[in-house]
Amino acid sequence: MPMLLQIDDLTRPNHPYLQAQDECHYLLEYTPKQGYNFSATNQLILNLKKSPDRQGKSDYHYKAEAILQAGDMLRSSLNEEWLASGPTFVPIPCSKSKTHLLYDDRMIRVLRRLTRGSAADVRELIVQTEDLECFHEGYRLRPDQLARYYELDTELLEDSPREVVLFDDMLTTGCHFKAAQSAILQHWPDGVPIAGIFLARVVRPEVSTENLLDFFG
Amino acid sequence: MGSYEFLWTQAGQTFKRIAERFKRENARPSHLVLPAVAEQCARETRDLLHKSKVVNFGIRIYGMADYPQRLRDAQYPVDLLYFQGSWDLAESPSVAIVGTRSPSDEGKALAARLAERLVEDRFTVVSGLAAGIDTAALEAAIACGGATIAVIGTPLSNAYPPANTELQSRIAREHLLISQIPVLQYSRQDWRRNRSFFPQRNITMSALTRATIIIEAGDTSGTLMQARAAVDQGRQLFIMDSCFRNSHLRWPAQYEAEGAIRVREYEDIKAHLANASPDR
Repeated sequence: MPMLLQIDDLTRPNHPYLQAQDECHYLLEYTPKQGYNFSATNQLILNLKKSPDRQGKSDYHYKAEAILQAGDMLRSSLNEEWLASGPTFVPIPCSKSKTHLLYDDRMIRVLRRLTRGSAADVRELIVQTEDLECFHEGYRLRPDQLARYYELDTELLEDSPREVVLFDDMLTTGCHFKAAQSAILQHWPDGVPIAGIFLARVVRPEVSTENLLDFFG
Repeated sequence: MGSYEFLWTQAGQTFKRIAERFKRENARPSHLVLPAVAEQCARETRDLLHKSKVVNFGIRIYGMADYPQRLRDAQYPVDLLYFQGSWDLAESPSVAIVGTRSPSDEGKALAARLAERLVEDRFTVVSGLAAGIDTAALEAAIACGGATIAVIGTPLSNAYPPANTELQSRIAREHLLISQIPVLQYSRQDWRRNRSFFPQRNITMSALTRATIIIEAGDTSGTLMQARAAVDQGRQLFIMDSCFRNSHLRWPAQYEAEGAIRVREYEDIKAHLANASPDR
């Protein structure tokens, strides 16, 4: 059974927007752009992120397999009693809105797999109102700027969740998490517990903490 | 990390005792230590590493999804490793080249040539960053563009011998540097006790790799710790022919009797590696 780890003082400097009170967990560490792809982790991530425009190509079935594998790994790392208490999983939106050709539904599919047969609830609560350039293509916003593109789906707001778990496959700077967190807290200003679960946190060994903070201000 | 460091500061700890305790209590380090104590030790450890300019480093704990399961083949497996560089390399097909700290010129040349051949065949070259054979193998692999892993017998913050400081930094930046050595305890005890960590990393190096190649080693060499580990862990062990031809040495024949392969030419290694289990 793999162990879910919490972002702590040692790991937080890699994710400059996260604050000490943010409760974020991850399963794997992903080292991008090293030129090597030996590890099961790197292959899982690369398969999971295959662009939807490869649909129909011979390698696309790896994406579906990666979705199942990611869901199963995460499920086996979670406490079943906690899942039975009925937390609400909310996928953090990807860069494209739902109507875009390159909209990728991998996060919701991982969550469906992860929560199957449990009392946990999956809600696409956060809707992205405009398409954005992919973050990994280098276009960067701050959390408050990104939050302007987020709206909550009013039809899904009737039942107040007892606990929200924001879910994404990758934790990089923490920008998406903070933007999603603020969007939810705007609707429930009295507060609802919000945590984050990520399949992997991104480690960039060549970038020191100081440089990251310079870069992101 | 703090818990692991704290356990090591308790009197009389060895990798054996720590591994046995985790096994007996079916525990991870953090289960055995009060959180406040662990946090204090983690802070001290981080400060010690930062002081030596080790800022970007990671850890792998038994139970994490990306802890390599094959490390459990060691008799007393390590429950925590520190690393710098690309962890991805830990899962690449890899072969260790090890040997004495005071080799002959032929031995050094042989280590370098073997490293180059292994790189050509897309193996990651692993060694211990000691003087002599280890250094010759790693330098040659890097010089011809290969991937390397150094498994060191000091914490990430220390280099031994000091002459290898620059090589160690380069491997930490561009390849993979691994240490199982507890940082706090290492800083609190003298060199005589710290010396005992060196052979321990050889056991981990064997477990991490698919095979170990011994270039030159005396009958009492620490390198033989890795030979023993390789046999016990079911890894392939290659011994260079020159070791057998040295009539003063008893160990080559002993290990051959236990399944080690006598290497007369590189093809002997290549053929056996091709038959090894792919996940090793």
